[in-house]
Amino acid sequence: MSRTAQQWMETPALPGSDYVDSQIYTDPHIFEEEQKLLKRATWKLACHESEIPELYDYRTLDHAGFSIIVTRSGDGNIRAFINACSHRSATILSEPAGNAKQWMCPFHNWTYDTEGNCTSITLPEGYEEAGVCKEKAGLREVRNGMKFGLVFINLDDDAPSFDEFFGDAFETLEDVMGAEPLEVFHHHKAMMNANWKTWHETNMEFYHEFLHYVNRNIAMSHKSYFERRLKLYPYGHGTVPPMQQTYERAGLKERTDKPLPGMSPSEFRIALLYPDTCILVRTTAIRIDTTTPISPNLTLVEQRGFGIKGEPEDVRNVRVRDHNQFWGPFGRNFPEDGNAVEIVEKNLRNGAAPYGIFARHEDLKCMDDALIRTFYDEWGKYMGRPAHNPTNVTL
Amino acid sequence: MSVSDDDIRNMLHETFLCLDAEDYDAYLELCGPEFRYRITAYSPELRKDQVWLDHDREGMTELFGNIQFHVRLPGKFFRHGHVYRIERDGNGSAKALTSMVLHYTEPEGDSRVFALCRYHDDIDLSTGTPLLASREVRLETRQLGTGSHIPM
Repeated sequence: MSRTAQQWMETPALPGSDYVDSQIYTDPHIFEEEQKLLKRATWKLACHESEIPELYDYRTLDHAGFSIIVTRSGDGNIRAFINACSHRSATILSEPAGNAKQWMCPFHNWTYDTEGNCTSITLPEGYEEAGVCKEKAGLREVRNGMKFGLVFINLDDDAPSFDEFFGDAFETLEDVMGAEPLEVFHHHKAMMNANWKTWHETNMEFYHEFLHYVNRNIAMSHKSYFERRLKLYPYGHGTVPPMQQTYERAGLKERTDKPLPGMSPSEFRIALLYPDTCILVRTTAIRIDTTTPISPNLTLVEQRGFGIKGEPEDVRNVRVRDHNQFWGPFGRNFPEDGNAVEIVEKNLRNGAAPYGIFARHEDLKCMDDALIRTFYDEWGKYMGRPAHNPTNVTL
Repeated sequence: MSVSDDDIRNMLHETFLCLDAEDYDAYLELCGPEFRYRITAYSPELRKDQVWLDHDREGMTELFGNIQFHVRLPGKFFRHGHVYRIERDGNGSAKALTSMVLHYTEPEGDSRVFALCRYHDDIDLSTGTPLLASREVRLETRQLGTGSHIPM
């Protein structure tokens, strides 16, 4: 039976944890608070160490409204800084990557070294009376932590440590990503007309996989697919047990050749890292995606593909081919997920749908919405408001 | 029988039209038996070249055959290509450079630029009919939104 406008807008007769108010995806004030209270307080994937292999290499990225520099300093340590000059806040480095021993602000030529020290101030004598000097003008350093060469940053100096935050969330990947040094071979960005949480929901709920032609055939045709039980970790992370898939069921070649360390032929693994990162492994290739929210309805999705550092060209070619088969802008799955999140945003934008339902309870079997409920439970803690009732703050 | 530059240009234009029409069988008829198709892009983030798609003729046939099963962009692509250069090597083959703009039109009729790229084509002239031996789509545009199941 269809519903009237009043019925359509009624609060779902569900526990608060089983649904979210659509305003969490569209409200500009909530978006701003997410940036400050959640994004700046959680650990964010910034890059992989292979993107800055040499001394003085750097990468820049935007995170939670700030431009960030991640560098391999002259002493070999990886450091991160806010990419803002101590003088007038100008962006110091504008290229996405490069190599430089000294960073000079293009506005007034203040310079910094890769350990964040201010090394020169233009015409310093003019500041002597005021006591401004290079010794007090270092860059704002940002905490960082690393796992499998993945560099994470945290803008909140008081946030839980890297080890406490992630705990055992990487355990399903230890034998795969921890065996040998990795290297990024694929990087692409995609601007989606969608809220960042909607994108990450496609990583966290497997119910949507009926959408994917390939997944329906190679994975969901196995009973074991549905029997896998989600594993939830503190701070909102999750994993799903490995499973074997049958690529031939979608007319594809089985992945028996060049498996990654620890992976058996045609095996699949996944780990979800709160709040916005997903690691997928398909036998031969690894994909990691993460997001940068631009506005409530605009999100930059960033995808990386990984192989083993220094592997022979023929092995690398297999990994690139297999990565691209599913992922990247021309993969089988990526455009389908992209289309899904954009058709959601189209209706959320003007309030056409007041609530999202995450009420599947299957004793943590893989179609259970438990990962998303855990995600929004954490979201509520950071935001000081529940996702099902974000504008009437009663936790 | 000699192959003129116009013959080559016409064949290349036909490949554009075949993809616009999503007539993949006709597209493959314009390709040689050893056809290789690649999409590549330079990543300033990695400071390296990347390969985003790499298929032989069999792989392209499989890819084309599966498009119908995917949830795909509902609109249409239009290719606007200009063949800048045709160079013969004197051994029955030629190279062509094409500048390409790919437009996407939503079902409601709104059009936008989807991607800028260049086609670097190798053309087999040995049979008297120009056949596409390989195509490298070199992307200038790297942010492609939701991406596409349809090659460029």
